[in-house]
Amino acid sequence: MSEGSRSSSPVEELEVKSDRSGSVEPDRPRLGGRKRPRAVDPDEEDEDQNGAGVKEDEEKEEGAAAEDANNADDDEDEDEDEEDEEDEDEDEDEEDEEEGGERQRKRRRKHKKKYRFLDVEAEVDDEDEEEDEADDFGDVAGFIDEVPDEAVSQDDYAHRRLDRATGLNETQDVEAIVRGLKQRHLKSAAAKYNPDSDQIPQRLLMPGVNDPSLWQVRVKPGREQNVCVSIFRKVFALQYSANPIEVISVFYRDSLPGMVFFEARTSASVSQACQGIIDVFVSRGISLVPIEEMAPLLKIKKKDVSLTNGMWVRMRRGKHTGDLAQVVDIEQITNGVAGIKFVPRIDLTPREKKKDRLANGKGAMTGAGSKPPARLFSYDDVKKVYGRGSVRPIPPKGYIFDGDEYIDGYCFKDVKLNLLLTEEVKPTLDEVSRFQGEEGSTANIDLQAIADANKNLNASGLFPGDKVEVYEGEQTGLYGTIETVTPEVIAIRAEGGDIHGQIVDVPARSVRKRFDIGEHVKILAGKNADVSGMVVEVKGDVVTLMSDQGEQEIKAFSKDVRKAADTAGGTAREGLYDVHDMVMLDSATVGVITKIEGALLRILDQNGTVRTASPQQVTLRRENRDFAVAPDSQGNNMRVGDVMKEVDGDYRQGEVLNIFRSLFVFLFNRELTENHGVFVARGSSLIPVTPKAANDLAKMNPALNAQLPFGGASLMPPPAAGPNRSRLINTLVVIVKGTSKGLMGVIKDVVGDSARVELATNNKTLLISMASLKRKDPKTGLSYPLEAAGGGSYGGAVPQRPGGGYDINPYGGAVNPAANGGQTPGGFGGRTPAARFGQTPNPYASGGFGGGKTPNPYAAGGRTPANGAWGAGGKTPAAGAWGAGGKTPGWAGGGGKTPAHGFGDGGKTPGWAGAGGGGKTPNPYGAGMAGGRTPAPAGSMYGESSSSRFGNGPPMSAPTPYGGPTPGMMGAPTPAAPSNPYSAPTPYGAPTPYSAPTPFAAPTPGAALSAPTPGVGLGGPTPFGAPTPYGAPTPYAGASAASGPAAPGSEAVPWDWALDFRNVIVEIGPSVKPSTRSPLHFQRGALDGQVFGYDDIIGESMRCVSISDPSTSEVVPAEYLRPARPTQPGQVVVIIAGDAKGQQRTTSYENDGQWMMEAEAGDMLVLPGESLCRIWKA
Amino acid sequence: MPPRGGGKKSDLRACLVCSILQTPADFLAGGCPNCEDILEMRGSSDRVAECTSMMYDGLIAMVEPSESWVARWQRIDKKMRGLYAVRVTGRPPQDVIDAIEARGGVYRPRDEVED
Repeated sequence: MSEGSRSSSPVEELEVKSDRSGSVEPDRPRLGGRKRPRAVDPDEEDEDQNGAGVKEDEEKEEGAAAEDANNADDDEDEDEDEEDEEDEDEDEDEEDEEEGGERQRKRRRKHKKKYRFLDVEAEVDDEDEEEDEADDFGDVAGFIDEVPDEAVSQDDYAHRRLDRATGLNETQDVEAIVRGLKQRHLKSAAAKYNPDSDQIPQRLLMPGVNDPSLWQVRVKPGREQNVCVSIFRKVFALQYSANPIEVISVFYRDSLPGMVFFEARTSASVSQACQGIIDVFVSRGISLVPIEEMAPLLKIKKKDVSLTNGMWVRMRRGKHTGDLAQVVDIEQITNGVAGIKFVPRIDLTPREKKKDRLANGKGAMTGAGSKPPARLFSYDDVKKVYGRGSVRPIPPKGYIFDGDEYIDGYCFKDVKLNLLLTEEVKPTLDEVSRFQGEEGSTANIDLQAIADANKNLNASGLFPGDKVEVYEGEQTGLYGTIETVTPEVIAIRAEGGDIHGQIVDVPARSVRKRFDIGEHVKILAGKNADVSGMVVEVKGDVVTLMSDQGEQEIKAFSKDVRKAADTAGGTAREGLYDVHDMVMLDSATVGVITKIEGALLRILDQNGTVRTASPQQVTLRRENRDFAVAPDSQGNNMRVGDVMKEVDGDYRQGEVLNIFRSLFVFLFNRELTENHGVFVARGSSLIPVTPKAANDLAKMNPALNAQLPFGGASLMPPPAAGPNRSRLINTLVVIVKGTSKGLMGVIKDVVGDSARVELATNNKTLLISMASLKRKDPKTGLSYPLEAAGGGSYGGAVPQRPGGGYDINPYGGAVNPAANGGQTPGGFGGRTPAARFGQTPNPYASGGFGGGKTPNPYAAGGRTPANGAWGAGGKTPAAGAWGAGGKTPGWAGGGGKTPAHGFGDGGKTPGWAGAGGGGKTPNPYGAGMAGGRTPAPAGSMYGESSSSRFGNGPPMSAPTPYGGPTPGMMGAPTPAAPSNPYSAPTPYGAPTPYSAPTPFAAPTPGAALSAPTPGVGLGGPTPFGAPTPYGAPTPYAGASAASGPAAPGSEAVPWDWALDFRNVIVEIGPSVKPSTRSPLHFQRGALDGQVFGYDDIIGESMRCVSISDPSTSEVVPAEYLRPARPTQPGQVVVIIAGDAKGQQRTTSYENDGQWMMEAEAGDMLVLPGESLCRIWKA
Repeated sequence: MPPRGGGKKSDLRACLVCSILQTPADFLAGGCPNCEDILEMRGSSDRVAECTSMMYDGLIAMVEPSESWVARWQRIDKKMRGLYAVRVTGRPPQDVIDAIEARGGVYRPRDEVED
């Protein structure tokens, strides 16, 4: 329409002019005619009148006509392009003036006059009635229609114009005209809303390289706005000057104090703009903002203060500081004002007289000092204190008091937003309920109010898996389980309803957690944090739960409640402490936590008193559960975890939780109700519920204690059995890491994972990690890993041996591949045979049978024979061997267990195991040993070890091989001893499959080892031929037998000596046990004088096998056994008493009841026959 | 047309539609220079209170809206020169939003961050 009107307006004007060139009179009917439509439209008249009123020239007909024209133009004005049109109109006016050659008037006047016929003037006049203009269309139509009908003369027109101009002059002063113009311009400038730029997504608006840059300038903080405005003005002022400032925009952000950003193409423009502006610190530089940081500068969002109705806030100033208030009106939020509702604090006990207070104009509320309590407004109270006049009721039930409005007791007030604290409000349930009126009571909580309280809840309290309920918005009433959580939106899987199972996104603030009655929950936050309990009621957002501990009802916001994971306990872990922890109550008192109740610990102290303490009042005792030991009523150790019972009193029983000072034992039995099952007892009144083997059998074995140190020359003190002493003590070690690397030393003590090593070089003692130590074999100089002394007592003993061979090849270890291979190929993967051999003679021992270890002890002895006896020559072998043997048994004794271990490890042959079982003390080594050794000579140790084993395990097929050789050896050596030991073996070959032994013939130990292999090769059974080998011993046996019973027990030998040995030959006689309750003679002496061998120990009895008739066996108590003394040279014996106890030797010759034994050259030992016992099987 | 006011922040109110900053008196006398035809604030102080807000953040002195990236970003590049707020808190009455949409525009709240 604008276009049309623009183009048509001149025409119109002409028409109008021509119209009016006619007489005035003809106008009347036209006007009258025009009034008809007006009559139809009631608004018309108003407008007309208004227009006339404004113009105040109503009396003139022309005026009316002109007004109509104006109205028509006004319609056009309505158009969106008013501005342009108006400009055009103005232009037209001017043109008209010139063209028309009218009288020279002030332009303004012309304007005015012109406007009569065009819109502009009318617009000015009609400014006040714009709203109604739309109704004038009808008039316009009428007007246009009528125009052509009447002719108006130019004269008339001129007259009218003159008249009207005069009228205008009278009625409008210049000022009014100016005002009108200004308003017109304002309107035209403001009118248009341009929607263009709102369509594009913002991401497409990111700055590009062609955009002006942003420059950051520092300004005085707080003056940013002034700076911006000043620069804006300056730029404006200079825009048409010679040097316009080419700054495109200037802005600042509230969140970036002290900075103002200029948008300009050059920094020069910026500095130009800043010149002369105060509070701008150009000297601090004009820095370019990187293009990628431009958008973020404008994106920054001030912390949202989005207030919503019902939201909780706190007040910042005045006597209500900190008070909770609720937002009730946010209509005025854009004015920075919010309506809030709060519990007033009206001073009902004013100190001054109210009159004074009122008189001095300060009002009633000027209470200084302490704040009056918050109470709901009570008309009566206030009236009483301040007088009726001070309170003005406003219907229906509000009051105005002191300028504030009170409704229902609350004060309603519009306050500035900066007086409100909107963050971190966190209303407590108490506050909220107080807000609701009755103090402390949560009975009548306004659910809506509580729900509102949680509007501040973001998703932080929600976790996937929580059950929630949507309580507002489109999905109100929806139940679901949270699937994912983002700060604003959570996805829940709907439960029930039409969309069951679907995942729905809902605003996090619209949901609340849902709990079922009976659910076990825990409170996460608030004053009841960490209390757990069962839900007994859910009302909106308030969950009432029955505390597990206090048995009281607790109300909490559902947002602060979580389903508790532990549905059973009701004891939540409280930080540092856990139930059953031992804590120190004071320096002398400890207790065990029996229960954790919220933040309180219930503690049973050592005296049996129950105390309650907060975690701050106690300290956690150092964890000593692993070490704490206390003697029980029987003197046995008990440890944490043992199940004990009282020997008196209540006979309570329980598991040991902790031990304090080895005296007070805390026990736990879940069946006890008192103190949640925890009770305290003295260790001395406890006894194990299940009889328990002593911790350390070694301690019970005197023989072991006494004879641990073996190995000829290097006798060592028995290992201490204390728990802190490791069996590694006295082990020769070499340090393989660290600054002392390469040094040798002896372990003197073991502390945790470190060992105190006494260096051999400078007698210093160092504490060195065990990881840095290796065992050193003193004989061979080779080092081996230091093995933990963990095993049994056995293992313990072994490591200590200087011989070292032992631990290298702890029982299972395959010492000798050859040997092992022979027997059980799989079993012995062990070490390298070569090494073995090379190093320690043990091959046998190790190699063979788990027994391999055993050999160690023997090793010493073993060697002896090997080198000395055999190698050196026949002469000493016996002695040496025996000597060694002597020990061996000791070892064996210790080994009682060992064998078991060994076998176990070796896992080779059951036979062995059996032998092991025999275990304890029988001296396996007996004769067998001797034999074993003998062969060993070749291999040095082997002979011995193997022999011993074999001897032990007669049943064993595997062993047999060794046994095989051994016996052979034995027999052979003895006889042949001096000359050629190896030849000796041959015999073996003969008797048994052991022809294998032949290898023995081979001079080299290696050969010897290989020898066994063949034996193995023979296969299981063959070995059994082994028995035969045993038979071999027979000779010995025979010998021994021949020798007849040795002098019955020598006094030096304890009655139970036999328990320390195995594989020895014994003879049965009267009991030697002092004050025994057993009969003096075993089986009434039926067996007295008979000679048996045994390697199986049953309690204190031995399973003895008759030497003369191997099929006969008898279980004979140790007290009836006495050692079979050597009867002739060359017999392998073990020393059963004295310092060399346990050594195995071979008798060399006898002199007056004393036997001389030689293990190696120069190693002579002379002992009375009573201290010797022949070895049964080699 | 240098703006009046601007000395103190509290003097200014921001148009909720275009975010221009003026004194309440200016709004009352001249309406919004950009959107008066839909806001119709001139002469009505109630309307001014409705359609403008004194809660705003940041101030932009916009000299050359057509050239300015800032203006483009703020969607005021087709608006008048003048002072603008970066963000304005509040929502105009629904009829204003309807009017904008009737003209093919999109009402974008001035207090939200777009992605």
